Amino acid sequence: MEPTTPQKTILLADDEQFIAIAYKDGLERAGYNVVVAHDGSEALDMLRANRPDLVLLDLIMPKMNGFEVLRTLKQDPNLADLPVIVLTNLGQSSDEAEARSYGAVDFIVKADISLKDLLARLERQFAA
Amino acid sequence: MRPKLAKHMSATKTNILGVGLLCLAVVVFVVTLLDPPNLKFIASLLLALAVILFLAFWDSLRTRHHELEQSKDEFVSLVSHQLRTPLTSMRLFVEMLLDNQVGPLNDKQHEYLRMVEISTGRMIDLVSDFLNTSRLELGRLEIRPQPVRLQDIVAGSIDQVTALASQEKLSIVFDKPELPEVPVEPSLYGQIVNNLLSNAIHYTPEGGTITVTLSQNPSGFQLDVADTGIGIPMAARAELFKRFYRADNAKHVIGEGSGLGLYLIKKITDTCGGRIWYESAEGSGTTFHVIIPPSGMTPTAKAKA
Repeated sequence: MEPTTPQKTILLADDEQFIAIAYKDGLERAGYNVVVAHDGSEALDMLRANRPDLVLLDLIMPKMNGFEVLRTLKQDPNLADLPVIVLTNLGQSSDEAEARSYGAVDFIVKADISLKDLLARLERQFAA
Repeated sequence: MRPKLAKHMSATKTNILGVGLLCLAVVVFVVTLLDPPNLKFIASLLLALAVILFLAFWDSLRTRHHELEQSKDEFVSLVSHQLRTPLTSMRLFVEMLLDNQVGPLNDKQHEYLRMVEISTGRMIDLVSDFLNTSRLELGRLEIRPQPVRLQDIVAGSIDQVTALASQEKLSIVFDKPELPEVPVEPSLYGQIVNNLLSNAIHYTPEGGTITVTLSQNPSGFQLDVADTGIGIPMAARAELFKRFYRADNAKHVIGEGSGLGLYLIKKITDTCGGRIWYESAEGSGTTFHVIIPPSGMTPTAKAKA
């Protein structure tokens, strides 16, 4: 996969250490610049300090969960238009409906998607 | 868990108490038939009181039963989330290793890692099956239809198993049709397709063909999955859609099946207003058909409060 130019930055918010390592490595190999936040409030701080091109947001995280992060950033005029893909292992359709109602552009169940398919979903998002 | 158990115990006690009160009421009622009218009046009051108490206990029993179900649902959700987390990292690391992204693998390493990949995939599917089975049984499976193109879901499911099928020297034929969007719950429809494909692959010997057809007819959107596999014995047909049931010839096929797949598909199709049926000849193959009504899946009523 060719790096997209200019290099896109993705903020990955996930408290699961191994999953964060895997996604960071996989996305960087595909040419993205990846920064990792390990909990919800760290994610918001990082978003405000350096606006990325896209956010991959886990839902169950310490300090502030993904739903709250999503709601907060959608209320921030500088961040409201930032595309957020929810990447979680909660698979209930009510979770998806809630996340989408707060403005998530996509909802992905981590266990159900390969790295290849995740990259395809990201490309689709950047092409949109 | 302990407080929940204690609650369950007290629910049983309440039950006994309620039955006792009802018996008392019956006795009082019988006595009133024999005694003077003023006693009859008192007895009627007692009877009314007993009935009210009984109803109140009955209601508290039902509430407790509901709480128990709720805690079971929460427990299953929690377990499935906890299981999916390590499975996700296994899946991702294995995928990167197999793609030679971390360095070249020798043939044996590649072969063994493929087996890890397949096993991990099976575990992930099992977790979803258990979760949905539990939800269906508690009447909590949510069906929230949204307009989707079924052909995209089917094509996506086929993509996911192409590697596995080619490893088993099976070919999958699917002529993707142009169908209009229809309201279905994509994850549930995907689960139907995945389970049918996984069965077809599992029970079809090397060199076989799996033919998938998706079409629209007056009764709805019909999916056919035809394999050239071992078939379903006559003796198994009455039990086929029962939970944990596995046909005798299925038990000889390498690799475990959970006996949940068809049970789950049947439950999902029944719940959403669809239908599943099949034809099979032992030794030459099986075709499963699933039809979703023309108007799509029936949404579930609002979740119970």
